[in-house]
Amino acid sequence: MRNSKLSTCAVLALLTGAVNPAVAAPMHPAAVAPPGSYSAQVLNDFALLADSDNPNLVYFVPKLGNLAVQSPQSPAPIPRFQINSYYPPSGVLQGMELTSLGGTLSPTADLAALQRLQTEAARQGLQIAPAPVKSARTTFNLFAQQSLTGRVDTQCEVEEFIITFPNGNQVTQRVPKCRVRDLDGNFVDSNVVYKFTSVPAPANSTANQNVTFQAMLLPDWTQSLKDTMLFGDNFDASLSATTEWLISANTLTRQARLTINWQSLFEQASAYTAFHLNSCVEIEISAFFERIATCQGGTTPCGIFIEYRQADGTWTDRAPSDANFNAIVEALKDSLQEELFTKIQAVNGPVSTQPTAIFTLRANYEKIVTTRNEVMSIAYNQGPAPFNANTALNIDCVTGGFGYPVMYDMNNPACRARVGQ
Amino acid sequence: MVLVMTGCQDARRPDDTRAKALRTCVLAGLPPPTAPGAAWTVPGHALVEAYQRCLESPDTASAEDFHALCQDLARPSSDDPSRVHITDAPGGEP
Amino acid sequence: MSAYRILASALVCLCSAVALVSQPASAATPGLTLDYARTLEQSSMVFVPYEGQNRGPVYYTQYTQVPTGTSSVGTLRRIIVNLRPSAHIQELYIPFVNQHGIIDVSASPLPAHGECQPTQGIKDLLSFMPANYQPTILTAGYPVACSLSLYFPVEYEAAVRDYIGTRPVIVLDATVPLCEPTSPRLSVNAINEALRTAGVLQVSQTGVWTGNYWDLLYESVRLTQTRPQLFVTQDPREGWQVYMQLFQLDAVAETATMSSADAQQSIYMCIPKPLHIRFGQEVMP
Repeated sequence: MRNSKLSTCAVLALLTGAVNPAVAAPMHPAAVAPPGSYSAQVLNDFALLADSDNPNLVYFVPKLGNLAVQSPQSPAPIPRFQINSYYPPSGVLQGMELTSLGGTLSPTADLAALQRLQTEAARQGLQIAPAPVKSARTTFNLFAQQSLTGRVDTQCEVEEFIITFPNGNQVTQRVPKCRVRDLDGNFVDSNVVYKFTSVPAPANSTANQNVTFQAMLLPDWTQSLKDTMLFGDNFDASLSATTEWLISANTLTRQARLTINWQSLFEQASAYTAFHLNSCVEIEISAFFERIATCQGGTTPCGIFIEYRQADGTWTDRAPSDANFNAIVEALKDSLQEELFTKIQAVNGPVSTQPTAIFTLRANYEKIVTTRNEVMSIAYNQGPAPFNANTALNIDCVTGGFGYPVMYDMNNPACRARVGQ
Repeated sequence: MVLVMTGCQDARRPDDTRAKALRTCVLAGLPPPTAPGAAWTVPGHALVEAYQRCLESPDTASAEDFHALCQDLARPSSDDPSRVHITDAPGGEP
Repeated sequence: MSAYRILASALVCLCSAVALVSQPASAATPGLTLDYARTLEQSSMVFVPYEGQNRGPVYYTQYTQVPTGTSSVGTLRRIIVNLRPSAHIQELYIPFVNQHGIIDVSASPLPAHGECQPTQGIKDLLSFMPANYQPTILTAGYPVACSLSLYFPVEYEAAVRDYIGTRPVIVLDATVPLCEPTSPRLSVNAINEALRTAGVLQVSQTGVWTGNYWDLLYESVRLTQTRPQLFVTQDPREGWQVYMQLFQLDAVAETATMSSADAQQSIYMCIPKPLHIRFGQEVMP
């Protein structure tokens, strides 16, 4: 069954629509599941997230990317990739045939996958957008050389050693020995990389940013790469990259309900401030709220009884397992601090401009004389939780190079499908 | 008077006896636990087959009867719905 | 806010321009599963598509040894020997995938299903080389199954080329666990319907099936006795086990629930048909 031709420029238009980070934020999948239901293939190809504001929007992070391709709709798409021989004119490697290669990798290179997602989402009345990301890190693997990133520092020198043939003859060998500085700053032996640079995906962007790279590989691999390009092999064992996206995803704002016995609470506060000689500093006020937040026993000994709203709408006095305790204490402080304490801004003498806040117990007669318990609602949020998603970037469907133009393999249906043909 | 009282007790006992006898027979017909002290789980079909074998006649088999048997004999296993935990609760008096 | 309008308006004009890719008739499947009934075998190529798609892995039963040209590394030389599928060398692969519209997912049988080793002969030939220049197996990119790296002094090039040209230097041994195309398929819906008739299961408007766990257990086992063909396996209890494992249990309420997606599945009960891939096996004297 042949796929119909599709309008890739229209699909690409989707990708350029910027999402205002101040308004919308992706929701952590553990907090809110992404909207819609999708086929196994789409779930295989993308990580999906919901939006904090728009229930009809689904963010995507592609799991598999490839070489960026120009004119994907044309009969001869142009891969953004070059690969050629290089003969250093001098130095340790003079006269040897190195390989120079470079290109641009794109997380959204698979237009067929993107179209599948877009079709399935649209059928459910949903729009798609690349997920906003806080930061991204791309690491390259070149043959056995793992974890290359940024610039690579290589030093080569000639190594001499003697080989003894089976017939007893001895011949001195002179071979270039290169060492690469790894991520920790140590030099490790390498027969792969001579030079390497890559331009990473920028921070505070979206999960469809391209990555460009340039590499010069040592002569040990030139013939292997020539065969790879001659036969159109997959590069996954030769050159691949992974972009790790860090997404700052929102968690849920939760509700809690306070039942307050003001008399008891003031007794608590009064005892606490008396202990601190009737003037508490900020951190002692926070400590007070921490104490009452964890106090067991109900309103009479503690002053407050806290209940948490569960997903099914019922209330429980056990805090949810993923509750950020700090967030709860902050919410308590925000609601109750002004009722209980008066803040006095003190200035340390006429010279210093640093104010320090002192808190004293407030004479809140209104609340103290209340005999009934008061019920108050507070809301708290854990704050953003990091969500990591990766895009594996691969190279295939290319032939040529080494003096010939690099061509996109239009003979293979899998390659045609990727450019939407 | 003593005789009459005994007669009343006899009229009640057959249900308890039958339930206990069925339970004992079924337990004996199940594959034993894999290790001493380990949780005793068996394939669900083994429980049903043991029940069927222990019946006096196949006509008495019913879902309700099986349900009643299982009340104090087994509980479902959340990790694997094809297996059940055998709860070897002693007695089982209603 | 304006960003959404851009997306929305792009979407509106898109819908008319874009031709929809054909979607499978069945609803969302839980994962990518292979559809063995549609296995295609031709000239040492075996293609198994995923359910509802023409996309899937292509495996090869015949490989050819193809050495690269010679790299000069100082006074040493290097050749890499690749095991390429014979079907590619014979130019049978491209016509095959085009004829059937196959989207090849480029799956290699290694390392998941096997391994490559250098032959004893090539190791012996180059045993005088220093330790870090010994024959070494390398991971390769699809469709190459694996590669062998050979370093040798310039004087040895003719001998090495001659050796590679006349006998295998790599031993490949892999077994891919495929299933018979005639493996029976368990129709979950047929069993659910039979249990619904028995009054054990109910189905909601959204296609979710529920019932009391004990009733389900009892009646489903009875079904393996009265209508074993529903569970398709030789011993119907095997199919029964797979069926029961599709349910989610509420252990407290003692109810069992099956999602709409699972209820529409047609699950392969695999009859193994392992695919043996061999190259260079050394003949014992």
